[in-house]
Amino acid sequence: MDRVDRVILDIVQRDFPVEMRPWATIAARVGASEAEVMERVQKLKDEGIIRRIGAVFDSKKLGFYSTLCAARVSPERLEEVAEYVNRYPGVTHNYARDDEYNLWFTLTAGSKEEVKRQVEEIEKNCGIELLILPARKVYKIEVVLSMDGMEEHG
Amino acid sequence: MDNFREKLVRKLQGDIPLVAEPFAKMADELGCSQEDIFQEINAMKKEGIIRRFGAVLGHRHAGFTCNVLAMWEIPESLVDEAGKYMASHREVSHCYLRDNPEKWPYNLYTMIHGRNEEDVDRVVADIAERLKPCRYRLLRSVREFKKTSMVYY
Repeated sequence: MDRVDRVILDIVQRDFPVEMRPWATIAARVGASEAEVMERVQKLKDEGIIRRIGAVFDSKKLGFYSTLCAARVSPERLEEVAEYVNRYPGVTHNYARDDEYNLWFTLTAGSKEEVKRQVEEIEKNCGIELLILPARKVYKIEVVLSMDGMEEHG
Repeated sequence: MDNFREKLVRKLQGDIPLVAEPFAKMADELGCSQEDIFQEINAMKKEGIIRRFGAVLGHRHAGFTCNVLAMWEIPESLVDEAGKYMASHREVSHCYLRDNPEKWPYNLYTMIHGRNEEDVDRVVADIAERLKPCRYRLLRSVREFKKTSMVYY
């Protein structure tokens, strides 16, 4: 990743031009050709640095309900339970963590009742008890990852 | 949610195509003009339905390999001040006040990302010093089972 990549990353995160030829607009700003910008973005996607380009929605404003869930799972069952939980489309993040509560995931669905139903289903089918931690207030929700001060990786 | 908006959400919740005119095909498929799409995106931005339009990065791949969930037990009267202080750190990507069950003491939750453990430890130590005495618990991620964006429709 070089300086041009970092500038592109800052623009596509913060200020993506929603217009007919977005890459041409970005190209003009970084002083490269449209084709070069698109090639660089393709590479950043291939490397997994850009996960996707699109809209980041506020699920609550779209009418959805979500919560953080945690569970204590015996180590030998962790993988199996994690795989089961992953099958729910509303589970978007799922991590093993180094704690007595070793499985942490987020669950989103169309209503509070539907989330409750899925929670009960997971508890029943996995034989675990979930800790349910819905957000009451947001102090910060990720905006962008600043590329300032990133090390050069060549 | 009207029909056009829902159809557009379907198109925008994933990854737009990496082509010179990414919205052209979308407009064709939706039977509208690109201008209609831009207007609707801007309307949803204004209403806060779209928090942001652009690239979502993979933290790990972008060099932020250390990810810690820190849970804090903060008295209700200090929650706002504490939440704002936590949020002021650039390594803190998310900070939420959560409804906690009776037997679970932690009410403030922060996700802290760093390029290494020292980055994260420094931020935790700074917050803990500012809010002391306060009980907290750190949970490092040891494995990522899933990380994706929500598919709404």
